[in-house]
Amino acid sequence: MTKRDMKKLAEEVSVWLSSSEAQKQLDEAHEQAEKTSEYLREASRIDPDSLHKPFTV
Amino acid sequence: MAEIPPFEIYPYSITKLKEILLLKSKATREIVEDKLHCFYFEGYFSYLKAATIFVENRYIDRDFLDDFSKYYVRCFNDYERKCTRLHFFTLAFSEAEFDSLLKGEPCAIDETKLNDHYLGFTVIKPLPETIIGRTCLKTYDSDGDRRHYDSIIHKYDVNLFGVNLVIRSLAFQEQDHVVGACASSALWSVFYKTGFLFQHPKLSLVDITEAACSHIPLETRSIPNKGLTQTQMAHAIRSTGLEPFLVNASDQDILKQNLYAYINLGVPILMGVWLFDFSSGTPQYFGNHAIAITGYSLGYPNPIPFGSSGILLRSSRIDKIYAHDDQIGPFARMVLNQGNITINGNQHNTISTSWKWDKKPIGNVKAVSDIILIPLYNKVRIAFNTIQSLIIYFDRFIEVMRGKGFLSSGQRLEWDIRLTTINQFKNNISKLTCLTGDLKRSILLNRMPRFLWRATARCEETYVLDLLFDATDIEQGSFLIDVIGYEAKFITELLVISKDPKFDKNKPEWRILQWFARQ
Repeated sequence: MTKRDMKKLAEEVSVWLSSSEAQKQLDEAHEQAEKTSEYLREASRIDPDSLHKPFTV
Repeated sequence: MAEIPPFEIYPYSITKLKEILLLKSKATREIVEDKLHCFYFEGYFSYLKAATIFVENRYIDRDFLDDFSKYYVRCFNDYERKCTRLHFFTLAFSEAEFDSLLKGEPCAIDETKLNDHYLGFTVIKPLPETIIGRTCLKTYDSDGDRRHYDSIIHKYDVNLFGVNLVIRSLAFQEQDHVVGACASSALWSVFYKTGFLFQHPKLSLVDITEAACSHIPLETRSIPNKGLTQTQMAHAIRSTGLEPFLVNASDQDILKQNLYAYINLGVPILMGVWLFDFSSGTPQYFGNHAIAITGYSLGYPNPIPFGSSGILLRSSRIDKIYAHDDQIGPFARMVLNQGNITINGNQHNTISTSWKWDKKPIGNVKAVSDIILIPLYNKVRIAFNTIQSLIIYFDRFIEVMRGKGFLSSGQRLEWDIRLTTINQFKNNISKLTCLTGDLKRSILLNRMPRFLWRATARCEETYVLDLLFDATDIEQGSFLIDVIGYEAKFITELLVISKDPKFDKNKPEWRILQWFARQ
């Protein structure tokens, strides 16, 4: 990647980040990631009642 | 009474094997015929083309001797303290030929040849029912990198009357019902490996049961043992100096993600399952069972998007797991995703097993994963959840940037998240052909912590980047310690993007992005 390409990319990113569309897309992405993370956190939580059930078979 | 010869050699057949099991133990024919292990041996030895059974009589097995000295020796009945060890070979040879080898006379077999054809051994305990003792059998091949148990197995040295043999496996044994139940057997296999990895003493079945019950006794007596609880299993792990990490694995995606993340370190994982008999059509619950997961199969050709973020995880390609199930055998195959059942109003995905229940045919029993218990070295402080969560945020950010055309990755990245050691990591880097020159050298010379979380991003099997996290750090710290870029253009684009000051520095993905911003 040339310096010129890098500068161009930086400018495009900067312009896009100033737009409301960027905010909306990044917020949406954050929300989806949060939902997945939250599900994983909850679903991997141990049920305290199961701690004392023996494995007997 | 005829003297027992030191060894006997027979051509392999399942009938002969059952005959030997019957003769060398105190079990009845009915018990031997009904043993699931025999069904397992039949399939396994037929696939690996076993040709010879070598019977090593009057074998002293350290593990059985421990149990014997702590329990059986005090019984009124006379129990034998010596066992029989059976070795299996794919090479046909006779007693006369082995005799010639012992005498140093010219013969058709030698140490190298025997090693090349060695399939491993099983110890027969002189007991009336639970007769399968320490067993180390060769694993199936990797089937083009589909089956993975390489990190779990290790080298066992076997000495057969002066002939040195080597087998790469993980020790297995059937539960004893007396000094230990299924959980003790599963823990025994796990400790065999962790003992090598983390230098703790090896525990026998009776040691494990005693350690598990020492602080949290069962309501009833602990030996004879009818089973351990999750808490007691955790306590047994602590007794070795390791830390138990317990995860609810009733969701099979969580099971796959966690087992993939931890098992590659080389530590077998304990899994608790509920067993259901489906022979009548309606699932009938018949108990909780504990096994040791010892491998997995990456059977799906493509990753399956997970959750609302749609992240692609390499672990989602797992279609089967392999487990030391004391009632079946070592590396027993369990197929995931075998249909749903409803338990207490919740849907659960089932796993096929080779179990049979109540004299019904094999194939009617399915398992539902409940928990996994991972024995970890105490310095591994950052949990998988923390790393996976960060990657989920970062991956979504990458997707937005890719969608806008700011990042040049052709396809969505596939994430391979695993716990590793500095030695495993550097060994892997040294073998990577896509990395050369000064960058490779500097990575190999870089000082790193002993335990690392490694998140590798690939695009259509091509390495794109590696994120390395210090697994021994604290969660509040900046535990991303290094990034390795394999795709120069992609990395340069990320470096440029991350330098924009408008990014919200309170977002989780910034914990990764800030590394790029600082460069």
